[in-house]
Amino acid sequence: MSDSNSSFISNQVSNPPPGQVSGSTDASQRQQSYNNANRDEAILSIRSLYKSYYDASILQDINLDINSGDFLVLVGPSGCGKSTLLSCIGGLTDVTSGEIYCKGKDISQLDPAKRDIAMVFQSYALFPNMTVAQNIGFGLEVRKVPAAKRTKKIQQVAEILHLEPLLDRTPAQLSGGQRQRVAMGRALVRDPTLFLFDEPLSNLDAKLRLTMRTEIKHLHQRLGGTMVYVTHDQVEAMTLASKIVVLNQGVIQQFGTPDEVYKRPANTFVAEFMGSPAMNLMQAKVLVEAGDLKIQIQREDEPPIIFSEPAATDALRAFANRSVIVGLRPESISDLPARDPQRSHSVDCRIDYLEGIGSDVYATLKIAGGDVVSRLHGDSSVRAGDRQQLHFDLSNISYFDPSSQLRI
Amino acid sequence: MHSTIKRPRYLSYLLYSSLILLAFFVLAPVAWLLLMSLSSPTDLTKVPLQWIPSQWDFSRYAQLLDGHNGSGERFLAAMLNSLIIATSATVIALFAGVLAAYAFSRRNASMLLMFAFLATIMMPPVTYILPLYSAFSDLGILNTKVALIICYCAMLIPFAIWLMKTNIDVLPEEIEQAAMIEGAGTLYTLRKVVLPIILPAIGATAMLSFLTAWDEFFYALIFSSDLSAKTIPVAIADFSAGRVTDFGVIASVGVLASLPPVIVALFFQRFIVSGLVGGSVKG
Repeated sequence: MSDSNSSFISNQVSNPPPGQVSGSTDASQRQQSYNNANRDEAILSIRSLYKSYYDASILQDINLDINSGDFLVLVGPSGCGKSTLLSCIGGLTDVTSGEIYCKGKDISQLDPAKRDIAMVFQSYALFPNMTVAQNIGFGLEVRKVPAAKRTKKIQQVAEILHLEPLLDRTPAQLSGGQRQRVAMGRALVRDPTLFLFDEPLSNLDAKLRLTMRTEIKHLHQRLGGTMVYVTHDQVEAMTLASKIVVLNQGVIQQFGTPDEVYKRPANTFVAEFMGSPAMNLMQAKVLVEAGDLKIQIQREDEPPIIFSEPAATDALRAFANRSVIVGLRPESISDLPARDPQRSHSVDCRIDYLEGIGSDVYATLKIAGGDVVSRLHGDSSVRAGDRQQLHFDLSNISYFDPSSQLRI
Repeated sequence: MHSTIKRPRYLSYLLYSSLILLAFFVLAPVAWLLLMSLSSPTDLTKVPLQWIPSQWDFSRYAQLLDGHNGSGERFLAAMLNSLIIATSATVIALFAGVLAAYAFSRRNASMLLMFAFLATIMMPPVTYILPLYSAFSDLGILNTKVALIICYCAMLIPFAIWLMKTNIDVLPEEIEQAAMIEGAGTLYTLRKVVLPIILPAIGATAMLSFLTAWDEFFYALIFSSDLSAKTIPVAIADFSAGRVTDFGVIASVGVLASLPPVIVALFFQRFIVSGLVGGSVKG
């Protein structure tokens, strides 16, 4: 997108009216889904939660339900309120209004100690004066679990997390990854209703982060447990989550499975936030020719890209002869033909510049006045300035309303 | 650890001579006190002064540590009073100070209240003497240890709160939050998590509080009149107030009176090591 376009979009998305953010069709579904029956079934339900500090509104009208065994990831840019939401669930921050139900019971006014929740902090927050074993066993000791049983549980957890040789050390004697594991052990040992993770991997180096990410995923698959996980890293969100909440400026932008969020972003904010490189957003016009819907994308000094949209919904038809924003992921603009030839459209493009990452080459080109990133095969021999036949895979194309920024 | 940084030679000379000068300033009075306490009265009154005693005289120490004669009895009673009063005041001040500091630091207790506490120790003690005297008199606790313990607590608590608060403020709050999430109440968290971490600060506060209470003279002078409450600074003053002043005795009392604070300092020094928080959170 050009600068003018992206600022236009972010201005629009910055404060979408609450309740409409998930798109008009999703909104009505959501109204239905947040009834009391769900609330009693779900492990964690949040109902119209608001949080503000003085005049600043941090969270607005948060509603969500997750079931037993879900891995919910709260994702969003810095300052979007995701950590505050986690903190509200954990009871470390008071809510301004709204309810939090855990197993059907309202816990929003309950002391954190009584919520049966375990939390892994970004800074690990280990007790520096205790050994690893004492750190892990702290929650059990508080609950006056007999020493023999305590030792046994600590041993079990230490085994799962490969901490056995470290049990007698103090946190100061551990590496970052080991501290991270101890913090997780402290959470695991109690078998709580809900696990909260506050950006647990952000203090680790890139390689360790990958290892720990896999380990967390394995732990979740092995031990079950319901998790709420905060991260600003959308790759972490995609890989770990069974459900994702995308937050921006305290408002839920979208709540869905990773697949839904990635393939059917609810608005341009989600489209640009999830995925790396971001989804390409292009200004386009909806044309009707002999009953067929065609999408036209203008290019500078080159013929416009025009393709037909056989799968047009009524909502898209309503935009006939008006502007829309077309969203296509970089992998949908490739030098290789699309899987479904019916939904493939080939365009001759001039490549402006290239970024190779080994497995793929990202080629940037100008379309509709903005930069568009396409993903080429890693062996592509194309060079900057070359012309290249690119295949637009339209099977996962997204359309957004330019005025509301919502998905059509 | 040995420093490997090279510095110019003249700088080293300057540093060491400053150090020697400082050591002389600090140690000379103590050395002179010790010499005085061991010199015979004739050496002390000789003109010109006999710096190094012609003979070592330990008789005053024997006299002071013997509870069966007048000065020994006075001295030992004052020592005991001072120990009881300073220790009680320190323990109470620390207990109240830590709890109050936690309230100010973590439970949003009003800062106005804390500044009000601190303001009380900004006032010269003499302003409190009259109201305190009449209050203690009405309560019938004039010339008791309790009166002095109350006075010293009033002096020490604001100071202890302030010191402990600055130390709790810098602790990462997540450690306490982790304890609470794990199910611990405030007192449990304080006892098992916060206190062990701020032990060095508690040690330092205890030491400073004890010294302040041990050395206090003004309140002790006004509120005590006999051996039941007199503290060591008042006792020293008494020794010099007689018709014939034996400087040797005063010096001996001084030496003995400074021993408990020195022992306290040596004991607490072990706690005053930094870096205890290391490893709890990513630094």
